[in-house]
Amino acid sequence: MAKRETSFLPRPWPGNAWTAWVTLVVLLLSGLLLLAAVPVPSGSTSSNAVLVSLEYQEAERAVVNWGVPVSAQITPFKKEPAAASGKIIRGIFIFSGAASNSIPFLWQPKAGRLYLDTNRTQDLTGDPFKAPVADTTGPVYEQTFTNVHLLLNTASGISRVLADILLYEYGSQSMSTFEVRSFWQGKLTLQGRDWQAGLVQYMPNGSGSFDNSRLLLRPWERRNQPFNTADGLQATVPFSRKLFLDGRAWQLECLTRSHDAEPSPALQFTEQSAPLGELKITGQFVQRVILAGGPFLVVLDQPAASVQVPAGSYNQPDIALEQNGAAAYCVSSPSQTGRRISVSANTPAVLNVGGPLTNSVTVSREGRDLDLDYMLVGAGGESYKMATNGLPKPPAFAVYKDDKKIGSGEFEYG
Amino acid sequence: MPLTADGPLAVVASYDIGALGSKDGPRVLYDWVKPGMASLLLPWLAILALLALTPNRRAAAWLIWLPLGCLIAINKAAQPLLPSETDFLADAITALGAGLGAVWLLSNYLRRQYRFITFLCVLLALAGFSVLAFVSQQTLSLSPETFEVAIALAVSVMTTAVALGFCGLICRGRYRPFGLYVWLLLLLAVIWLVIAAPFFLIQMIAQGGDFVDWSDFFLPVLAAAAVNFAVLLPFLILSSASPFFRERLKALLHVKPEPPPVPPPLAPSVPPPLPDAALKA
Repeated sequence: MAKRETSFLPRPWPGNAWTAWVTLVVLLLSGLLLLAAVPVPSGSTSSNAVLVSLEYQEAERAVVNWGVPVSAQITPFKKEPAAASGKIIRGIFIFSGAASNSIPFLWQPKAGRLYLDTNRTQDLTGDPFKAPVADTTGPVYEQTFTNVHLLLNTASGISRVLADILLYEYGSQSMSTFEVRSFWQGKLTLQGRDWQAGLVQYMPNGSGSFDNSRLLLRPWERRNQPFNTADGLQATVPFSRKLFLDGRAWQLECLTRSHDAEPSPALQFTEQSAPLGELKITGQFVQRVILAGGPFLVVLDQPAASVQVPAGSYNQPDIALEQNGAAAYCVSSPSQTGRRISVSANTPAVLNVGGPLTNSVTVSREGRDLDLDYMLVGAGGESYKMATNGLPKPPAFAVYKDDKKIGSGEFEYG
Repeated sequence: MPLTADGPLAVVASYDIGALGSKDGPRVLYDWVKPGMASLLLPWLAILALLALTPNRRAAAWLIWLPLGCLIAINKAAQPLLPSETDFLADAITALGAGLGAVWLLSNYLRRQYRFITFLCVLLALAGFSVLAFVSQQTLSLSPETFEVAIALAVSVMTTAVALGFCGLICRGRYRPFGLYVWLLLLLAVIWLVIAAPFFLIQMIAQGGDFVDWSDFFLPVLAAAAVNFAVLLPFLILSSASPFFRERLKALLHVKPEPPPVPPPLAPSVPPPLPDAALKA
């Protein structure tokens, strides 16, 4: 009688099964390697984590402005372009962080030319960037050179930047503003809702960390709308590792991987548990509320009249209002930081902000003059500014005595 | 505000904020009390009182209203053209003008034997009447702007008095109107620069000295000197045009009196021809 083996070890597999098993393992490993190599679309990395790979994106308009200091260069560079009429300004753009990021330049304002030494070889004879010169007779104090692509060193590798460079002469000093038009973005899906998530870098600080960045967070359908970190409409928020978005608390990590020496960031959202409390918002037209200074950075997008947020104490909020194309914003001032908003699990907190807005004027006497101060105030007396493209038309006033207009005019900024 | 307006006023702010709210804000009521005319007229009443002094009881003395009127007219005309940030200068210019008018009318009393004493008297008179004119234009509610104007006025008064004093020293030999104008302009520029330099240096040190834009220093200071000279100029022109005020200015500057004109040599007298003797006979 044949003895039956009762072992836990597998029996030797037939040849076909073995081949199939090896093939499966190889395929699985290849798949994993492929996943690690290519950008990862929004998806889960574990049961409660979402990873968003970010892609380099260029915009039509500036998304952030960098004030880049200029160090004057007295002596000529090793190789310079042919001399042009008018003043020649030599200098070096000094970026904070890596010294290797410094970019020597030669500016010929009359000719509207800017030569950059992007290779840092003291050779400025390459093709210049050109700016229109409107008036060739008078002195030129400022010029903008558009579509300048730069490569900047960070601890994670070389980072691309697209900027319009505004150069201006202030007395004997040259100054510059880099109107940066590039950022990183990807699609984030949380509970079925799509968001545009991204990073807008401030000037590189050499650490390679994206903590020195603004986090771009807005509904995916708004992804083509222009934005700027300084426009007040809160499309970007300060980067925070503790984020409360869409009713949930998240631990946010910025991961950096390199492709061909270029860092490619990704955002990982890992869900956290946090005790919540009720926050009532009394005003109307609230598009976005940002609560900072608490346990989480709270981003409320089109919040309802009553929302749940992590319990804790917060600074006064930054608010963006929007209704039928009209938008306004309120940025909390440092003087308001003493007035904290406390949200507890037991008692609802009330945030008396939002619309409708009121054109308000305060009147006081200044000698023989009547001093009028304009403010656009919200439901809680907070001060708003209208979000407009370009220079807005100033508010107007009228003074009446016995219902007869005796004076009118426009408010001046200041 | 119109000088005649008085009583409760309603102010309305308007701005198109779309669907975020109403275009017109609520009416804000303010009870406006018109400023007392007496206080507004006080500096000009003081000038009238000075015209009543014995040395000024001449028709020529009333010409002092020409530079004063000229300053006020230019001030009013320039106000809408200049940025609102320079509004505060108007009060200082009017006050300095009133002070200069008083000095021109008081020069007989201000002239002393010693140049330095004359300078002190000019400074006191200029400061006193300028402050009187300035205060009469203000209300009791003093704003930070009022202090800015007061400081600008104080510096202008000091600069003008010092410039007049030095100018007298330079031009003591002979009164030459054009030379006087040029020297006063130069002296005002130098004195303004000397006064402003320490403040600029302190600011530069406070900023770490890493950024020095000299145009930030020279442009505003030289502009202030130019405005100061422009206030003085109508009075200088009056002194050039009017012999009465020319003597006043020369007295203030301690200019040596010009020697009286030498009379032309007399021709030898020829006795009238005697009547013909024949006719006599």
